[in-house]
Amino acid sequence: MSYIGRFRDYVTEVGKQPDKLLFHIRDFLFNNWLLIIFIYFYYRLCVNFLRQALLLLQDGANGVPQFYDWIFALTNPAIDTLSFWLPVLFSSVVFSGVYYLKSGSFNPKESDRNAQYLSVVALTPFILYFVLQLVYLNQTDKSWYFGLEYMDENSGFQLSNDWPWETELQDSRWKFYAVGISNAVRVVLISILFCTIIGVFVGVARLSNNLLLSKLAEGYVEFFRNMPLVVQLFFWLTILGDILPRFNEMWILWDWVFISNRTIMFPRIIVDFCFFGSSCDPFRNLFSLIIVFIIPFVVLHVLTRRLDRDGVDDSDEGLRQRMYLWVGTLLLLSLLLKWAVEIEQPVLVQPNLGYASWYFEGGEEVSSPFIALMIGLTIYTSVQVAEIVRGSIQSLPRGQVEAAISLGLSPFQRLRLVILPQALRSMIPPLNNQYLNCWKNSSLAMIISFSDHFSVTTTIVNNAGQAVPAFIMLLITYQVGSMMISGIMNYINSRVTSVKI
Amino acid sequence: MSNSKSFADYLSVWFSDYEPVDKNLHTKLAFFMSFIFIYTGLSIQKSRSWFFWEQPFDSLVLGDIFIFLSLASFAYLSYLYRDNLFNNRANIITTLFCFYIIFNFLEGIINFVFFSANWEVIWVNRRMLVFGPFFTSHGMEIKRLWPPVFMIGALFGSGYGSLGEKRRKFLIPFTVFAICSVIAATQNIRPEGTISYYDYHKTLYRLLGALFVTYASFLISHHYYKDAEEYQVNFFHQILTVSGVVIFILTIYFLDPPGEEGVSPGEWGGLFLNFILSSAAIVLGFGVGIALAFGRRSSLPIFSWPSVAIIETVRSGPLVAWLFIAYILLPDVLFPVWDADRVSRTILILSLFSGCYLAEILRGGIQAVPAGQQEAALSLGLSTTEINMLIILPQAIRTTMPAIVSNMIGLWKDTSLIHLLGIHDAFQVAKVLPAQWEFVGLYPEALLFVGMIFWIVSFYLSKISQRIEKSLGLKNEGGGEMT
Repeated sequence: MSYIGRFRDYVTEVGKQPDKLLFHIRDFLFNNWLLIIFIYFYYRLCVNFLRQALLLLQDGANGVPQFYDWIFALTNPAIDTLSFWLPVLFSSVVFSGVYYLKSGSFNPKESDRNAQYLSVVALTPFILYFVLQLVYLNQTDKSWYFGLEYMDENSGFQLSNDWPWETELQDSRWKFYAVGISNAVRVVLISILFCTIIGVFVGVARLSNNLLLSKLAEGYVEFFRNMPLVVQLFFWLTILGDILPRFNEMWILWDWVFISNRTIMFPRIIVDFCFFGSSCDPFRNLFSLIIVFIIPFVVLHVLTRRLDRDGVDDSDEGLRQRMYLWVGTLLLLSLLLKWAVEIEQPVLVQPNLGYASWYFEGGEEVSSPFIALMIGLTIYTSVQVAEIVRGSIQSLPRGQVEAAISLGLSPFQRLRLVILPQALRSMIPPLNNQYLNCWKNSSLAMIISFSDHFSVTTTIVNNAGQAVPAFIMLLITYQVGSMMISGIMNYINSRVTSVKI
Repeated sequence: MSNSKSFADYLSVWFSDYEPVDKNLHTKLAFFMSFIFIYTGLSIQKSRSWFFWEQPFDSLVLGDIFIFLSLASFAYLSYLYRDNLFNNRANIITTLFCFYIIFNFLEGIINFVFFSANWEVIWVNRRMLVFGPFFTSHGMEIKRLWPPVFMIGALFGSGYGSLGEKRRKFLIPFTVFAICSVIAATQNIRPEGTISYYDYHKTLYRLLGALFVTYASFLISHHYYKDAEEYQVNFFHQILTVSGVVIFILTIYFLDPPGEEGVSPGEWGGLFLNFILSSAAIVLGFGVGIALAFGRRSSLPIFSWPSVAIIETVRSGPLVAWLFIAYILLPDVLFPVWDADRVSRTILILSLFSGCYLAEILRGGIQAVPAGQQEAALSLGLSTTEINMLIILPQAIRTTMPAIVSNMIGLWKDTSLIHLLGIHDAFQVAKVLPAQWEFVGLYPEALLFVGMIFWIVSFYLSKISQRIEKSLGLKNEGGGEMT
């Protein structure tokens, strides 16, 4: 029977017994109170959003001639009428739709399709408002303009940590952003390396038989896991400011390293590998240093392939040849390094007794925010790594360890040959997660005034005032970094799990 | 086995295999005694005179002797656990190394906490740490906080009482907390003779009332649900969950009633704000997470595409970036319909952020639910919503409970990031306190205090999560013991 027919029947029934109507209304309210409350709030929201959306379609709203070349522009009476009737229409449609869906159906596919239509209808006012508002902002607000021209302009500020580049006031904002990325990547790579090493040690120590060692590792994990990273970073920064000596009482290690709370100076490695005898910019130096490291190992690889073309020869003669190869490679590497690399010593220049006038010539500067961020990130991530290592070791079947014991392996051999290789297989996906967290947590560099790309972006937003493209670029940078980390980890994972056990 | 006797064997010969009756108690006692000895030694070293005699010999030497005495209790400890600590050479070296670290650490901590730190900065500013700088100024209506305190006390007490544990497990820690809070509330903030707007008589009565409500609700619910059936306890827990949400809404209503002049969210601050933010983000984030998780799993493109887009976009950036977006860009979009203040925007973004992570967690749980469950529900004639809400979601939540709680812990820790938006949360207050002229440069004290509060709450949450894991039977007791 059609709905209209049902309704007509109901009306005639009520006409016979009018006193039943009150009971029907009461039952309806009792059964649908949640829906009624929901529809009330939906109606209120609808009124708000639709009114604003319609105002955005008005000609000359807020004193700005917007959408001027549109076919229609709403007039005030039309807005008043529509903003009263449209919410009523939407709410009644949504109410009857939800009521209909709630009454159930024996065809799940059909009800799914109806739910889809209903949610489109229900969300229309909000989507309409957001789209119109975004278009309006894009036309009128500078920070919502999607152009990247501002990145070519002069930055107007200077960075304190800019190794290996050197930034000047005249440089474009692109260069500053690149320096920020290189800073963040530097910190994150160092932290990932050290957190893995420390994490594996602590995770193994938590499972030690030695009660003191395992309790110590547990205390380390519990303390640093439940402390917010922000507090830790601030704490390390203040601690560094406390324990490092003042500039006029700096620690000098054999004239090579100068440690004070203003700067920490290390010798700089200058790579001079330019074939035409000119001095290079730092980036090319870094590049040539990489080449210097790669050449000997490529030679080694080629020669080893030649040696092993008939299978690995592990007789005395073969092993001796292999040893000669390695010795030769290391000799070649050291020769190349001797030829290519020059180490520049930092020199403290003291024009007069007042230490405000002292400065360094040459050398590499490492600031204390960098060290604080490195320590903080390393410790915070190492704790998570330790938990992962412990969990994956504990999830190994007990029989593996017992078999290793019965083979007479020493504890270290058990760990090295039986337990860790198997635990590594289940460790890599969660480790990937933690490395991603480390990469994202490096954004906290801003609060200890280390200039990574996030803090560079906030400064650029403050100076240039174009927030939206800057934040989109920031998010893309983080996403690309995350994808690179997870790509590498997935490759390692596929390598590790390619052998089935 | 080798013929040579190990160090542990020699120890047991000297003590003729003495074993205490209660090993755990002796362990605790030994730790306590070493603590006392180190404390006494340090206090002698710091002080001019010691009790009634006037420095019979150099106080440094006497202090060192006391500190040395603490080694005796450590020796007793190592005797108790000799089979673990001294059974072979590698273990002996490890033990000595660890002992060196622990001893130095303990001494350093005791020295910092009891002697070198100046906790005055915390004590004087305790109200600011809890309520923020705006609530403490004169004329601010702090009385609006009291109804929520009563309601939360009742909720907390009755919730704890229904767990069916022993009474002393709640009563002892809570009594300690009650005494501390009464002391902290009744001591006058300012020194004698200065004008203080703080009426501590009224505060004391109200606080005692709230504590009484908590005790009473605990005892009543413990009396009723001590030996109750599981379904009764579950029903009570459902009521508590609903009333928790209601209490949360009522709290905001009491603080900032519409149409009346209250305390607007922009003026909230301190630790109390961190609690409000994290609980709001957990509650709202749970809703967002469930919606996004089912949306992502849905076969209907109108639900699945937007959910995938939202989840992946939000998860791609760090929380700080999203907070900045909430600070800079969200007002532009929202202003015509809602003139939201900072705190509301932060709640919005925090709940969206935690919801996206929760959605990924829940998706794993939903995928782990066997397909037969859904088919059985379909054959019973349930609709898609009913299947999702009544059949799949409870099982998914059950298997992912530890991950959900760790997500909550992460959110609680992340509320310390909101100080970047200029909101005076506990961490921001701790950062600003050392700028007061009496307390210049006392950064370690302020930071460690606030950090320890964050630590205690998240440690407590992680303990709860471990208990849930155990009670759900999710704990994987594997082998793989080392060395």
